[in-house]
Order: sequence, then structure tokens, then C-alpha cells
Amino acid sequence: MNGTRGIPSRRPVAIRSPWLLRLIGAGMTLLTFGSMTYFAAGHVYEPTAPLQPTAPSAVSTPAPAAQVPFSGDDGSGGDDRGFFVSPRIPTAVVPPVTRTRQSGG
Amino acid sequence: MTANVFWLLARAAGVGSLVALALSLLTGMALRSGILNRIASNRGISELHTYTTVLWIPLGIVHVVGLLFDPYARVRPIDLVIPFLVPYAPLAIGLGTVSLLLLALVLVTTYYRRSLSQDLWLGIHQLSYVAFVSAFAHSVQSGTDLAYPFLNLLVWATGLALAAGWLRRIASQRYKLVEAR
Repeated sequence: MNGTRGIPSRRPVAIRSPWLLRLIGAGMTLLTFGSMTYFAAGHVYEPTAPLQPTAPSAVSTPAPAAQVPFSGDDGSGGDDRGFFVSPRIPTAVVPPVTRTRQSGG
Repeated sequence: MTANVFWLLARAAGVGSLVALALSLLTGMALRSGILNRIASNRGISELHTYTTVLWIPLGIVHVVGLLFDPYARVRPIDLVIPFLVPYAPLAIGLGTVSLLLLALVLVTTYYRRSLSQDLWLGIHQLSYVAFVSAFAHSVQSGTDLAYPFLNLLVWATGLALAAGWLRRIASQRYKLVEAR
């Protein structure tokens, strides 16, 4: 007869040390946290994400007017580089009028 | 980079906290069902279960505080106490609040365990399963990084691992009941 009948046999376990278990648990968590931080730094805002919180600056502050380069020639023959106007400001070209005493008005 | 530091930390801590919480629940389930008996002894699993609180609580705090200070997420202090109030995604963010409140309850009652009856304490402690389901749904619905397949896989892997452990636990309970008859 078996003298140990009814007593469950103790299976060998893969990891005996509780410290090693803690190390594995901490390693899994910190590896996830670290790699996610690295990933998040390279992908700050994801345009195809399921949820898109709206930035408060986009809601409250109006966007600044876009600056477009002035393409018209002012006839001066000078260099127009660096001359910008806002598209909201009318830039109709008015011919120069020189008033003299003889022309009146 | 520094302008987005709260946003980055909140996202990273959220995923890290979810993984650590899954580990905590898995080891908690293993204590009763023996699903990790081949990996470690029950005493080792119990120690790991206690230790995981050191992992998921700080990361959970970083996740919550990071979102609170980040202007992009627009989470207010009241949203940490009352769920479903965030204007742009009440359900998705509210599930995170529900999870936070339930986990706080579980932690407080664990601290005062000796002054509670065993049944009451266990009943409240098992709310951590509901908290995890809520946290999981929160991460799936509001996780702004889940457009990336590998992150989607990681989050679903934690959910599936917990579901498998839970099914295994139910099966072992039924087996014990049949054996007892």
C-alpha cells in the first residue's frame, strides 16, 4: 500500500525565489512604461487615434492670419524679397497722383 | 518636448499601470485557483500579488496627475471624483474614473481589512475585477495610441490573459464542487 495516499504530491515550481518573481513583475511593468515613454515621445499626437481631445488653444485663441508673399510688381524695379502682406488687408494698386498748383483740385 | 511632458507621462503610465494591474489580478486569481502553480509556489505568488501594488499605484497616480496638468486632455479635478462629466468623451474618460474610484475603495478596505468581516472584505476586494474591466474599456475607448497595432495587441493581451485566468478559476471551482459531492 502506498503510505502517502491522499496527500497531494508537491510539483516542482519553475521559480523558487520570491525576489526573482518580483524582479520579473517589476521588469515587465517598467519595460512597458519605458518603451511606451520612448514611443510616446516620437508620436506626440496621433491623428488616426480613436479619441481626439481638442487642444484648448485651438478653441479659445483665433489662428493667426497666414502670411503670403506679395507677388505683384510695384514697378519700382527694386527687390521685393521679404515683403509680406496679410491676405485680409486689401492691396489694390492705386496709380500715383502728383498734385501741382496748375492742376488744381 | 517639455511642453508635452505631462501628456507623454500620462500615456506611458496609463499603459504601464494597466499591465501591472493585470499582473496583480492574475496573481490574485492564482492564489485561489492555482493557475500559476507550475511557475511558483502559492507563497511566492502571494508575495508578488502584494508587491504589484508598488507597481500599479504609483503609475496610476502619474497617469491621473499627468492628465490633470495636461492642457490637451482637458481633465478637471472634478472628473476624478464624478464620472462621465468630461465634455468631449464622457463615457470613455468616465470609465477611467469608475475604475479609479473602485480601486481606491479596494485599497482602503484592504488597509482596514482586520476591522471588516472576511466576507465583506472579499466582496469588496472582488470589485477589482470590475475595476479592471472598466480600466480596460477605458483604455480601448480613449487610448489615443491604440491606432498602433502593437499597442492594441498589448492591451488586448492583458485582457485576454485575465479572461483566461478567470475561466480557469471558474473551471477549478466547479471541479472542486464536483469532487466534494
